[in-house]
Amino acid sequence: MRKMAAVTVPVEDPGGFVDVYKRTVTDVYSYLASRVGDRETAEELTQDVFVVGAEHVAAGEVVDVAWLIGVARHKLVDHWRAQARQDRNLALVRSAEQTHRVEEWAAIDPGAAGVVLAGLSPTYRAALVLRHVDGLSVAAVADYLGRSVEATDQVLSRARAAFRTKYQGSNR
Amino acid sequence: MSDDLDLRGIDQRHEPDPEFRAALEHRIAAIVAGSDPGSVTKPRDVATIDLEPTRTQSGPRQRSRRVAHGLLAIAVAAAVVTTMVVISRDHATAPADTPIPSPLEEPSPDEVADARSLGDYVPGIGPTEVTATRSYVSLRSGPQGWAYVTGSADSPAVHFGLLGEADDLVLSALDDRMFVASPASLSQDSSRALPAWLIDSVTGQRGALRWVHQPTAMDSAEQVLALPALHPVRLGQRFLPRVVDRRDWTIRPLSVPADAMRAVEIHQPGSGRIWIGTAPNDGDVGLAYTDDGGASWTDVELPGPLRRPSELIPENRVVVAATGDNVAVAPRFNPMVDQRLFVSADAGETWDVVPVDTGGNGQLLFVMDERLVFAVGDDFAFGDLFVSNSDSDWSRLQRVEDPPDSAYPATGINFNKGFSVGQRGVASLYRSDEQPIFSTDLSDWWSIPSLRDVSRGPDE
Repeated sequence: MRKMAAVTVPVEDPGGFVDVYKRTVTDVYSYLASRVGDRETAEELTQDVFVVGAEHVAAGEVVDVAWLIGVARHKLVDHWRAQARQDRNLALVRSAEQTHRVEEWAAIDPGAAGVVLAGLSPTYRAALVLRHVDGLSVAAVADYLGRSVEATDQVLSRARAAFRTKYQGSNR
Repeated sequence: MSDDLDLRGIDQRHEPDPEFRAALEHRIAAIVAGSDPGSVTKPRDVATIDLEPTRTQSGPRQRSRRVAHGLLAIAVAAAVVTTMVVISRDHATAPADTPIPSPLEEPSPDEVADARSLGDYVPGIGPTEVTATRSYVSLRSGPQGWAYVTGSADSPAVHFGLLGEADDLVLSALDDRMFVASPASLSQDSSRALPAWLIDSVTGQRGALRWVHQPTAMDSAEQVLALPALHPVRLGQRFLPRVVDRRDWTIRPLSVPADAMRAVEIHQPGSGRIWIGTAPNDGDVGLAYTDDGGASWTDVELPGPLRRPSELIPENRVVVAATGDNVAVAPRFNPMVDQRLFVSADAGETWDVVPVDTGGNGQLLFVMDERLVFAVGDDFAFGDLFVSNSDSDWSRLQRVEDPPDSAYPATGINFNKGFSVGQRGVASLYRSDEQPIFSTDLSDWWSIPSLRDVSRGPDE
């Protein structure tokens, strides 16, 4: 995972959290925007993360950038979980098109790995991002997704296959 | 492709929009200073109020406290209510001595047209509730918002309506006719709290219930516990049972102890003994129940393997099903904790371990016809379904053979349907080929007799 700014000083007074916000908002936003590929969603999740952080600090808790990224990861998984429910609800095949795609993606990867990723189901996206972008262990991914390690392995296997198929298709 | 797939290249630096960044900084500064101007990413839908219940004192084991409904509380509540922006409800501002009319009204023709335009209502796609009299409400979402269809298995008449916007709705049957649709979870952002809707399944009329912050103890037959089932867990939020009060058409939080924990999901009938999750003194998570509508509570400890510090609860979710003295507890969505099912027949005084192989996946517990139903699966897949052999003994479970696909989910989206379909041991749902609507039927799609066979045995 990309290295974050070295903001590791815990915040013990509520006012100091604004400084932490200024120093870490780009890290948190980058973490989220890279993974959701959607500016509006990234902003919304970023806001959720810092609101939780502010409430945490206001309650006398200690917060640092690692904690914020941890909350961001939970928010991300919750977002995909909700998206998976929504997909089932609409019973529609999701379009790979997304609005307000983060512009930098195309420049970063002409092969459109990120776009391919965004076109996968939320379940596959969650599994691949946690495992192959965040570099978590399969057991840790299983913990986030609420699945057994064995079931997560199967999801990862299917997700990689789906990614490969779409990725190869996009490069023909 | 092997496991060494490397996608780290997508992890790039993105600068947030300066306007967003500044607006969020302003909001964060306000929050730490003790106020919250609200979301910076979306305009406020309606003016709302914080739904956190009033904190009250609690004792270590047996506690009994009465909820004070003094003049000050009434005055505060009245002031709050009068400052709320209520969704198109004239009666909301009526003087206190004026009879409060029912909030129900007919959907407009445009609303009905929009709701119908969402297409077929297919079983398993949206939250659905069915009552013992086989009236039903089903929800689904579309570009215009959340729509509903209501009807009865015994009548060809169906009704459509539209509920506005929400992220994810759940549906609860208040009785055999009236339903409540409400957001599946409360937003962490209090400025985004969403309304609840009352739906009459017979007429198709609908109306908004008013959210009122003031907690209430259920002291009237006109008060019904709503949404007793799933409340998805979110960081920093507490379990909030909600009460629909027909006397003034409000939806209020049930008075709960100060240590009530929202992270514990409890499925229970909406009357009689009420259970909640707790974390006394911010310690281990436990349970508490009330037999007087929330006026006083009795603490219950969870079985040792499930007794976890409350700070771990967002990751170590606990699900509970309870009715009367019968209570069952299991972890949900965490393969790292003890996966056994624990049941008690004496309101948590003693616990029995039920040997069920869950495969380490998420689980749901719910009460169906007084029997315990144990669904194993996760947010993305379905698993096995187990049912207790009788309504009095929850310690013996039997696996339901060949349940229909998607008939029981492990997530909130279909949970209400699964519960409702089996709640009274009757009914099923099927999609009519003639009409793109839900209907109910006793013979197709969901085989309740297989559950009956479990309880009665082959020779009865």
